[in-house]
Amino acid sequence: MCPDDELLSAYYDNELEPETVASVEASLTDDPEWRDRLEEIRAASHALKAQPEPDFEAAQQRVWEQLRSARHEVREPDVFRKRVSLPMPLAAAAAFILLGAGVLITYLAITSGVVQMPTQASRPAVDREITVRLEDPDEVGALLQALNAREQVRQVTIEMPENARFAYQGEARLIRAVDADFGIRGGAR
Amino acid sequence: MTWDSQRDSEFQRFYADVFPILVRVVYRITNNMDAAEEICQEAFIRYYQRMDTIPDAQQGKYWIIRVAKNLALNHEKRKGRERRAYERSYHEPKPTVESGEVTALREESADAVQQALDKLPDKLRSVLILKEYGELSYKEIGSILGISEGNVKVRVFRARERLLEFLKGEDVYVP
Repeated sequence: MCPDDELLSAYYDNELEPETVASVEASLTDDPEWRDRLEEIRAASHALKAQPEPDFEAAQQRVWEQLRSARHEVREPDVFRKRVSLPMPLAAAAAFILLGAGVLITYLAITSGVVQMPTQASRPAVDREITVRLEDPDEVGALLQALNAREQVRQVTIEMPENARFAYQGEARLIRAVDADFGIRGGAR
Repeated sequence: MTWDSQRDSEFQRFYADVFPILVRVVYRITNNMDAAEEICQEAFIRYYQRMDTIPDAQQGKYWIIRVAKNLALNHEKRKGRERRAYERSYHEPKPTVESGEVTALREESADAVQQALDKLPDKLRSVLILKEYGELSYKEIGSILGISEGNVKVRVFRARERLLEFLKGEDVYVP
């Protein structure tokens, strides 16, 4: 009978049921061809196992040390940062579908009234000009404080009277613009 | 997540049990010790991150071998692409006529066996490496690869058959 190589391979690996083992061993006893085939399987296995090996014990120690030193960096996997690798055509198709879905959802949300496009009335006051005439110089500080509290005013122009006259108070000095609070935080100077 | 003492000792036991198998399997796929160490490290980090969700150490062993095997095969594919790109860039096709040095190396049966192993398709090579170097049963290999024991049996046999064909073709002395 021609040897059953698959059966012999499993026999060599001790992966057969006892009754099958008995049958294979009977064939091995009776047929030299079966024995030759088993010898070849054994040779293939030995050729692999006889391969020289590096020092795996040293590697085990090295990797363990690396793991211990890296332990503070070990974190739970972040589901939002999982890397996904896609072939280029598939990635392009996915991007196209996502873009289309985004446009469709936005369109449906606007047409159904879930989302309202900003109108002129709801827009923030951009480039709006407000003129305030102040007779009392002390009111300047109060106005600046009020504007600052709103946190929406980015620019204030103070127009001085043509005949404004200034008087020095204390020592003349240079200060940085960022340090000049003009009474908004620390009171008028 | 902290590296607490209970986790640490559990992980350390698992590492001591599984590393010897894992590094042998990965080394035989990559044939490079530095790469094998890096891949093992990466696999154990991934295991540590998920060890709470893995039912027991046995399942953990199958899981980590599967992960490391895939990392190793990916590493091999990447290296193959890089090698081919290099060859294209410098117009250096693979040598068809072997140099004296290569011939000398080929005379060593160990190299020839490794080359024969490398020539096997991934699905045959993985099974054979898990069997011969991982010393795992067909059932364990089936659990790792997600295939039946019968399928493992067929693949192991075919891998050995192909390996012998390559070795005979190279006229390698097989003890």
